Amino acid sequence: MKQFLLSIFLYSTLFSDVYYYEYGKKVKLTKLKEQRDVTDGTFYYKNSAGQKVGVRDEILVKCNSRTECEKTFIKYSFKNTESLSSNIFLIKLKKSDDIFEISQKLYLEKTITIAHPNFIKKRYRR
Amino acid sequence: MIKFSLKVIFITTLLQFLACDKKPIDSNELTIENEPYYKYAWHFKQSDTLVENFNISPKSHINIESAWKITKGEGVKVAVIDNYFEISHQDLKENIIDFYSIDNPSGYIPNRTDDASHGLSVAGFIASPINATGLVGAAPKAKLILIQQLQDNDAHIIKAFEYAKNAGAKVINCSWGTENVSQIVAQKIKELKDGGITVIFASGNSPLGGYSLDAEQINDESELASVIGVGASNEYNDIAFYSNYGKNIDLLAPGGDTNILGILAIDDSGSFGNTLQRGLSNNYSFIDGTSFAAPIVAGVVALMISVNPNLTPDEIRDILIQTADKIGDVSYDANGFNEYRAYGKIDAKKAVEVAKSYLSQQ
Repeated sequence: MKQFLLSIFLYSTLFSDVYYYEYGKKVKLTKLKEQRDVTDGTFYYKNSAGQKVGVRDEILVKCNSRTECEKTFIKYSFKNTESLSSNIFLIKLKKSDDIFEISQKLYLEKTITIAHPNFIKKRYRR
Repeated sequence: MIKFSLKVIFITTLLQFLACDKKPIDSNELTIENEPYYKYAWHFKQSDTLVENFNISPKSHINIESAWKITKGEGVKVAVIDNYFEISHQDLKENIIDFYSIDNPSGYIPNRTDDASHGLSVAGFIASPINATGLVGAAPKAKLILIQQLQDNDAHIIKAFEYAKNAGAKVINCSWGTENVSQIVAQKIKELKDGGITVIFASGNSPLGGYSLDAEQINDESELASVIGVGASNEYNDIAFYSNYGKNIDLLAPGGDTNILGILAIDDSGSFGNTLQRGLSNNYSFIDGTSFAAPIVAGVVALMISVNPNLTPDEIRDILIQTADKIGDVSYDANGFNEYRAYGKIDAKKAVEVAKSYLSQQ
């Protein structure tokens, strides 16, 4: 019985919800079963509307200013960052980092106005 | 004597003929009527033949020939963010001033040789030049910045927009969308608008019939307040059946309907095409989609900017809305809006005329 319950618990954690903040709201994502792209380490999730998004090991942040971003990066010991514009940065995390946990923490920093994973979303040609 | 005179006349005529034949074509002498397929351009002018043969509405065009008498978009840079481009295409290359691949930092964009150069067709609607080769874009003297973006991630979208800005684009055309725009991308687009760059997005298509983007779970790029969202009109001068719509879509422009005829385009298979539709060469075809309505608006925006470079994106949007043609035999609300047809179909002549005399508040 214990083994059965343990199996159920472990199985459920495979598809547990994660969340991040966007547009001032907490956005929940559910991990999709067997949706990992082994070639590039992408994990796939779906949001409450059923839209599929991919996540790797990168976070996008927008700060009030470049200086504030750089200070925050030092605080978190981020080594691998790329400037995409004057105040938008791409942070590459370590494989062992929890991307959603770090996104949440960054979002709550006063210096940062937006922080969420670098999402992979299907773009439809029209 | 008569024989001699006839001989002189014959030789003179022959020499004149040969001289004419050898005379290089001066691009300044070329007119839009020299474009061999311009006769199919129902979206730009009334064609009596097409009206008769395909029952195309004589009003389905956007009144652009009158606008071209004022400007053809000289000096305005328009960026296109899309998948593949054939940068050596005969009916586009002379207006390409920059190209870059976001996915390949070396900047090299390989020519696509199969049937998926969506960006090629899109770019043609904006600035295919007057060169007696095939067709003509809405702003035939505007210049193109072609940006290839293949990977579907937010960082690459931001990089593409940043490249367009740094390259000097005043207009950016995006004939794609996610229906799930990330906040940081939306913010980047707003910054572009605040910086004086007009961004245009296509509203999207559904082969089963266009649907409303107002549904709660849809958050499309074309709905953003900082862009001009464009749906498609058809040959009958009404909204095309496939065109997505909603309260945040701004305008319609011709996108055609291949069930009727379709809109004349540079074929997305480029020089390697195999369409041969209705006597067109391999380089051209009739297609449809909001993807092709959006770049027509981008071209008209380029015309407006060329006559009044001080216009802000908000002013451009307002002018396009004020001057739009209320198509369809339906009513529009007090603000001039209709759920399906937005503020109506663009009218290039009126938009350029108002733009020219508009005293910008900037």
